[in-house]
Amino acid sequence: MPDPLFIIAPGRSYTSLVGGMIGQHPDIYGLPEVNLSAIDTMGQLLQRLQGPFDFGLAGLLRLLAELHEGEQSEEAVVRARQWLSERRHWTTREMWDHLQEEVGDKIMLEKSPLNNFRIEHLRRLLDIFPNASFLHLTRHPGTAGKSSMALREQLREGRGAGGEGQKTRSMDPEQGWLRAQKNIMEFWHDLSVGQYMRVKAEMLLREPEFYLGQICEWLGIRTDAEAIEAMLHPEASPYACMGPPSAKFGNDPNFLKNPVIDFDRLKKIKEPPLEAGAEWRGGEAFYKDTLKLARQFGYA
Amino acid sequence: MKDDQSNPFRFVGRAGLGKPDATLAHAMCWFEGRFYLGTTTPKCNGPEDRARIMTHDPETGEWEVLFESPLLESTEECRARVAARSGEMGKRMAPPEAIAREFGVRSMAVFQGKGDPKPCLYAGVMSVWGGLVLRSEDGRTFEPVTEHGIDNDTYLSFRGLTPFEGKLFTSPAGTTSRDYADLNYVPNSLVYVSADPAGKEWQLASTEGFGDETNSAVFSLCAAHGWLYAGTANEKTGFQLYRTKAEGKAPYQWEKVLDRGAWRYHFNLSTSAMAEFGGDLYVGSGISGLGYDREFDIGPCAGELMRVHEDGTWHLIFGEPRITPDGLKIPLSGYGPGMNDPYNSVVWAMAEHEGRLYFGTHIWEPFDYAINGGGESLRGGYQLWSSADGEEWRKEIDEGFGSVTSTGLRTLQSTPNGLYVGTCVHTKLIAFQAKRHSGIQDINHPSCGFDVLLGH
Repeated sequence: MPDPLFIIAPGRSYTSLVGGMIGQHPDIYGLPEVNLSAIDTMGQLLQRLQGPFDFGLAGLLRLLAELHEGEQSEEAVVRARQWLSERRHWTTREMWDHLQEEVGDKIMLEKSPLNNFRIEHLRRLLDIFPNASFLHLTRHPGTAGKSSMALREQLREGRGAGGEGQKTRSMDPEQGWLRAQKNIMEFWHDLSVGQYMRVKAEMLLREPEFYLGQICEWLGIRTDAEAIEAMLHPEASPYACMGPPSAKFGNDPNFLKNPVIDFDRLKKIKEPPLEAGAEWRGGEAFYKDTLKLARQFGYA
Repeated sequence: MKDDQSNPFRFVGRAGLGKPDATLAHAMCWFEGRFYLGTTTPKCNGPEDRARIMTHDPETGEWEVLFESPLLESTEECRARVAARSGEMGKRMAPPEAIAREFGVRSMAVFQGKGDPKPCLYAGVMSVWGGLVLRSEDGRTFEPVTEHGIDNDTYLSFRGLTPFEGKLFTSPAGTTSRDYADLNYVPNSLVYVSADPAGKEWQLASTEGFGDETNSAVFSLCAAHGWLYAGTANEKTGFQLYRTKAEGKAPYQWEKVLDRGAWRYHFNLSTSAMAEFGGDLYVGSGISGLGYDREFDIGPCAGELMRVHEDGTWHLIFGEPRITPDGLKIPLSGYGPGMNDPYNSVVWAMAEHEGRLYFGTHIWEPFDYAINGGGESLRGGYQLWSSADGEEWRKEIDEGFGSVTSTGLRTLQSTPNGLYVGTCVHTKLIAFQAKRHSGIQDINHPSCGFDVLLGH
């Protein structure tokens, strides 16, 4: 079976869009966010993702419903939940093995933001998949933070995904960006040459065909026009839409509502000067560590 | 000392050749059938710290000092500059009464200009009075062919003397002033040219920073496949590589070949050594010192090697695999940055010799063990690698050839005698740090000055 591909990035780094694109390659199966990196057994998963955090199960439930029954109806999702609850003893590895078996010989692509929350999560993935590929997607800390603040506003107004736990978060988005990036950069040292690749999301999205081709070349999969064309249609994924009532999300709600690529908008993606600072703090300078990492990623 | 029979390299000069404060075998050249070595004594705090140009006879093993810098009476300005330098070196010293006109030789080249009756030996030297270019017809008598600093006496030195299309090119390196001193960074990021250095006619060959104010210095010059290349330091976005045919009147038209540290951004802060091999240009990179730029908080990280073709395309030889506007770059050697050694901070010297490309590294591992090793024995020392095709590499020398305080391989020179290797040694500094931070009383390394090796 092929080794999976993980997109690793802080939240609000265009992972949904880029993941949606890469996941449409004929040799790849794009998964919704399954949040399997923080736990060792399915029992732990069910225990952790309950109550206000239940929304975190949506991706896995939709995936299981789709793989088992070829549909994501409310009934299929309810049966998937039941199926999962009967496998509390399963290890994460067993669940991954099951998913791969269902997916077949395609490369599984996964991009849960939870993967980057702690370095142990990333290391857990590497422990299960020592030969996995990791694509580090970067986004300017200023625009990523601004996007986080906008999403938070949507949540407060009840227009977005997530439970109470997300609505009440008050952390400065720069801290979230920095924590995830530090975890990823530390994790990078655990990887072999060629196992990790970094790309600026802004660069990729301005010229998706050119950069998606490089990602395919790196992964050793088809780079022909047909394969690239398929990647320009993330909306074709069965997961690129809202799910049934008990598993509505499993990805960024904005992406789920509108997964079609707006090429004109992407061409206008900006990278403001780092000196502009954090807009949500009145233009106050970014932290020293943020600036250091941002410059390393190519932001100036 | 690792001087076993199987290794083709052997020491031919040790411990600074009689001057333990001469820590840098800084420049090498082959001129009129003889090997020349230019030495540097970075301390530069008194009459004993003088640049020397020496020659080696491989038959007898003897070294001869052909030139030693004259001494000049110290002035108030000079003492202020020395004080600024000693501050940069991390050690305040007493102001000298007399000081060498030049304390180091940073670059050497053989060139015949319009005013030269025959090919002459030129040397770019380091001076607190402002760097100079020296000229010699006989390899023994050297005279300045520039004013101090050419047109700016705060330039510390001139590096990368490179003959190209009947002209001699160089770039200023380092700053010497009352307020600021640096071995590498310069007030102006420029290239100079002369068709007649003997006539002291120097012109600007480039505009300031090639038109980009974020370029802070020109670190490397090299001729390859009919182009003259110049590599910059750029702490904002990573080095840039330019090239010119040097046609028409100076300053010439330069075109950018590599940008943003070859898309590794500022982890490729500057170019370092460059060499032509197999019709291609090989470009090394790195961050001076310990692979970490303290002023701009960049790194630590290890250097890379790239291969630039005549058509301007390029390949990564070793380094970070990456997605770039120039296409996917996967290291052809299979090695990551620093040849998979994170301590190899700079590709510091490069040369072709008998059909193989050699490069030497600067390594900061001994400093790390001295400071953070907790009393553990020191490890490390420079490495020398070679390749017949630029892709398959063989390690020729490891761990400083048995000398752990030999932190850098600074110069390589191909000669009919063999391949000369010149080192940079930091015994005193490492011993001090090992004692201070790790309680190591004796690092068991008596040699302080540079070493020279010869390989066959």
